[in-house]
Parts: sequence; structure tokens; C-alpha cells
Amino acid sequence: MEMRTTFHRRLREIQNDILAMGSMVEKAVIRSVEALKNRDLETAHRIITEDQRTNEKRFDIEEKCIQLIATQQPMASDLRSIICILNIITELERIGDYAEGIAKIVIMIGDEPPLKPLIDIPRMAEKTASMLRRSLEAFLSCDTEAARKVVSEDNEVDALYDQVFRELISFMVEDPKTITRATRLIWVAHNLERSADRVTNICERVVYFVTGKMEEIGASKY
Amino acid sequence: MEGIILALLILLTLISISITLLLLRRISATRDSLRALTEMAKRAAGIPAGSSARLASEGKVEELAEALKLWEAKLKEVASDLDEEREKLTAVLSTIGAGVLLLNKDGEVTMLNQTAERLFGSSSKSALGRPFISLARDHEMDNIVQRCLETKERQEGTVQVAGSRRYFEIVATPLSQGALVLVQDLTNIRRLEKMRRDFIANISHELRTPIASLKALVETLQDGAIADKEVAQDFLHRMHLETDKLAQMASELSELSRIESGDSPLNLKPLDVAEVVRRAAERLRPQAERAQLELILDMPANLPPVIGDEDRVEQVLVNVIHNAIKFTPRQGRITISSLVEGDQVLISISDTGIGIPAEDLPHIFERFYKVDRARSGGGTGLGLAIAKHIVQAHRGRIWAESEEGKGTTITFSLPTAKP
Repeated sequence: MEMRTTFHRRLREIQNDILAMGSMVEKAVIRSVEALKNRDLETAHRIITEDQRTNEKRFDIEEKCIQLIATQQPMASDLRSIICILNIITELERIGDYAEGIAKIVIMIGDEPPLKPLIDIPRMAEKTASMLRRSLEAFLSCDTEAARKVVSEDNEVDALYDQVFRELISFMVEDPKTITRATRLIWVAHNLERSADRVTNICERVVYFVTGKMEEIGASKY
Repeated sequence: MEGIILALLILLTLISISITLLLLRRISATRDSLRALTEMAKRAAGIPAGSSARLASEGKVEELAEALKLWEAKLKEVASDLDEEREKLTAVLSTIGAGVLLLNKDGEVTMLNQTAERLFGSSSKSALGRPFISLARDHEMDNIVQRCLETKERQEGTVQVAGSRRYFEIVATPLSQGALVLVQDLTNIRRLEKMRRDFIANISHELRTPIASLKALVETLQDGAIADKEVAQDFLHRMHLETDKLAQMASELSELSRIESGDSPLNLKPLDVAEVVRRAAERLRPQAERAQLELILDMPANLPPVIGDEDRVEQVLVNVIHNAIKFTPRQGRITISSLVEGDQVLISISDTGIGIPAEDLPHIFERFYKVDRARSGGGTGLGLAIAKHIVQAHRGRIWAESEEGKGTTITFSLPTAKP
């Protein structure tokens, strides 16, 4: 009994750490696109420094998980939840890296004149951030329904990506001088599309953790 | 035989004596503890030890019962006092505009008020006992709280919350066991601050343009242009136009602030709207003709009188029609029409002009808002803002509908006079 309470107290601490890390990554995604919209190099640089902190948080959580396995020898669903956490933090860290990538593109763009007002790219960021937030909620409440719902929304991000891609290609076809700028925006959209895919991975992990069955829920278009 | 009986009797007597002695000691011990217990109950009930307030049945079990009864009454009183205090505290906390949370030393929520529930979108039932981060879902806010719990020092900061994107100011004060957290939503204040900043930026921009051209004209004159009579005349004329523009802006700004602050009361009386419309249209007809525009009045007969300030209503019409003239290309049409809707008269000014993009439409009544700065060079950017404030002072509404390339209709309402 004593073992179990210690285990669950520590597990809860780790869950709080995951919420904090989720918030860090979510803000990085939103802020990177805001920095792009406002050509805000200062924010872009800050995102890059803060990604260090996200990475540290990831190792910190990983360390705690390993200690928990070593000292408490969890079994069955307890063990699955720790494995799930180890996977989630890897995905979160990758999403953080995508946001950092966008920040780097913002710095690359510098003060070049904007190609077009950004509409769909901020929408992709909003959608991805909301999916990310709800995927972690689904994990904490062991809600496979919510997890599946988040996965189903990945289509919307894919559709926005398609739209951005087509629009930017049409710019390039019309005027080759826009190729550099348009390509950079395509990278940004691509990073967001990948981030949303990582969120669906988190959701698959949630389903595995709850049901014990590994399954691919929704195959992404990309 | 007798000897044995005697010995037995003596033995029995001895036994009963010792039993009696034992019992007596017991009783005396019981009485002592009874007395102590009674004293204790009396103290708890608030009767001072050794006080003259003696109970009727002194030194008996009844005395203890009586003291206990008093004690019970006292406890009830204390409990109801506590309830009352708690009620007061809850009332204060629930009416407070800031979110208030109490955290224990592990950072778990032990209490939160209604505002906090609303700010974090969580009911207190589900929030109690949970760690702060799982409620706030924001690592920056959580950092402030954690720092407070670790350092035992007051911490504060402003955070743009993940998700809702609202601005929260958060103040965490350490308590002996845990922390008190105050959260305030600053989003609206931030918005107002931004409006103020924009206003100042706009006004300095609007002032700079005429001042820069005045400066350029004066400098050119100083550099010798004054000797050329014809050029000098032209320059003076242009300087006159620029100073007119500055003067107009100054008077419109003070007008706007007067209307907004309610310092210039309206001279309300029943008005014939059709008459006011005719007068405003006549004032602007020369301008419309110069711009080769047709100005059409399409006012129904027998409009009920409205309640309004004649000069102010005319000013609204002039500002709106003037705007229409500016943004309608030659050979266009400006139509002023009216209809009655309930206890309101609606007056619409439609043009066949360039129209307003949908994203600009909500802003055209803001001060200095210009859809196309290149085209609207002449205006102060205050005309529609003034119109809006006058209409609102009349308890009317003003709104715009537009289709790009087709034209714009601006409609405002005025209350009809009660018969």
C-alpha cells in the first residue's frame, strides 16, 4: 500500500510537469506564428532560447520516469502510463523544435516585405495548439473518445496546409521573384502540419495507455 | 466448635471492614474526578473557576450534567459565530472582481472564489485538491506561484494565457502554509491602452502632414520664391488651405471631446427630418455638382417628427453626405432616403462609390480611421466619429453596409417624438 501511494504521488508530479511542458510548447507554436505575422525578431530569438528550457524539461521528466521505474517497479497499467509519458514528452519536444524552426524562418525572413497577409497559417497554428491542449487533457482524464476526436481534426490542418501550398505555388508561378519568400512560408506551414501529426501520435499513445491496444487511429494524408 | 465460629465471624467482620474501606476510597476517588470533570466543563462553558457563579446542584452528578449543558450551548454559539464569519468571508470573496485562490504547501487548491472559477473555466468542486497548474494550464503562471511557494516571497507578473490568449495579472503572496493567489483579467485594460496609443499615434500623424507641407512652403519662400510674385501668391494660397485644415481638425477634435464628455447638452425638440435633410443637401449640392454627382432626395411624405437637436442632426447629415461625395467617382449618384421603423425614423445615405472592404467596415466610425489613406487625403478622419457620437447622444444607432466597387449605405436612426 505504501509503495502504491508513493508511486501515485510521484506520477501525479510528473503529470503536472507534462502540463507545464505542454503549455511551453503550445505557447511556442502560437508565438512563433505571431512573430512571423508581426515580423517580431525579438520574440523569434526568445522562442529559440526558450526551446532550451523545453528540452531541459523533457530530460527532467524522463529522469523522473526512469527513477520511478527503478525504485517502484510498476506493473501493468502503471507501467504503461510511464511508457506513455516517455513517448508523449518525445512528441512534445519535437513540436517545440518545429516551433523553434518557424522562429528561425522568421529571423531568416527578417524585414523582407510580406508576400501576402497571413490568414491560413495562423489558423493552422491555432488549430494545432488547440489539438495539443486537448490531447493532454485526454491523457490526464484517460478519455479515449476525446483522443479520437482530436485525431479526427488533423484533417482540418491538412486541408489548410493544402490550401496554403496551392496558394503559394500560384504566387511562384505568376512571379518567380516571390519564390524565396513563398518557399519559406511553405516551410512554416509544413512545420505546423508536422506538429499536428505529432499531436495525433500523442492521442494514439493515450488510446494505448487506456486500452492496452496499440492502433493507428487516423492515417494522416502527409 | 464455638472457637471456629468465632474465628469465622471475626474473619468475616475483617473482610467486610476492608471491603467497606476499599469502597469508600473508590467513592472518594470518583467524587474527586467528578469534581475535576465538573470544573473542566464549567471552564469550557465560560464560567471562571472559583467564581461565585455556582450551579444549583453543587457537588453532585447533576452539577456535571448542568455544566455540560452549558458547555453544549456555548459550543453551539461558537459554531454559529464561525458560520456567520464564513458566510461573510464567502460573500466578500464572491463579489470581489479578482480571482482568489488558496493553495496549500504542495501547491494544491484548497479554496477558490467564483471569479477564479470563471477565469479558469472550472467549478470549485472539480478544482479543489488539484494542483494549480492543472487548473491554470499555463506554465508561466505556474512558475510565478511555484516561485512564491519556494522562496516564501511575494511574486507577481502579467501573463498572456495559453489557449484563451487573455492577459492575466497574477500576484502570489506566501502564507504560513501555502500561498494566496490573486488573478485579474487585464485584457480589456490592455485593449483600452492600445486604443489610446493608437489615438496618439494617429493624431501626431495627422498633424505632421499639414505641418510638414507648411514648413516646406515657408522654406521655399525664404529661399527666394517670395521675389516671384506669382509663385508667392500660389504658395500663400496653399498655406492658407493647410492652416484651414489644421484649424478644422482642432475644432473637430474639441467638438468630439465635448460631445463625448456630454458637456454640450443637446437642444432636443420635435424636428421635421425631411426639412433638415433638404437643408443639408442644399449646403452640399455645389460640392456634389463640382464632382459631377447626382444628389437625389427620396424622402417619403408625412414622416413623423423626430426628437433631436436640429444643428447636430444637420451636422451628421453633412458629415455623411460629404464622405459620400469624396468616395464616389464622377457620374455617380448619392441618394438620401428615409423610412419609419417602430418608434424610430431611419435615414439612409447611399452612394455608388468605391465601397468599403469588409474588414474595414467595423472600424470606419473610429477616430482617424481611414480605409485608403492615399485617397482620403483631404479629410481629418473625424467626420464619421463625430456623426456616431451625435447619433448615440440621441439614443440612435448608426451603421454602414457596403459592397466593394458597388457603393456604401450609411444609415442612422432617430427616435420619433411621442404624440
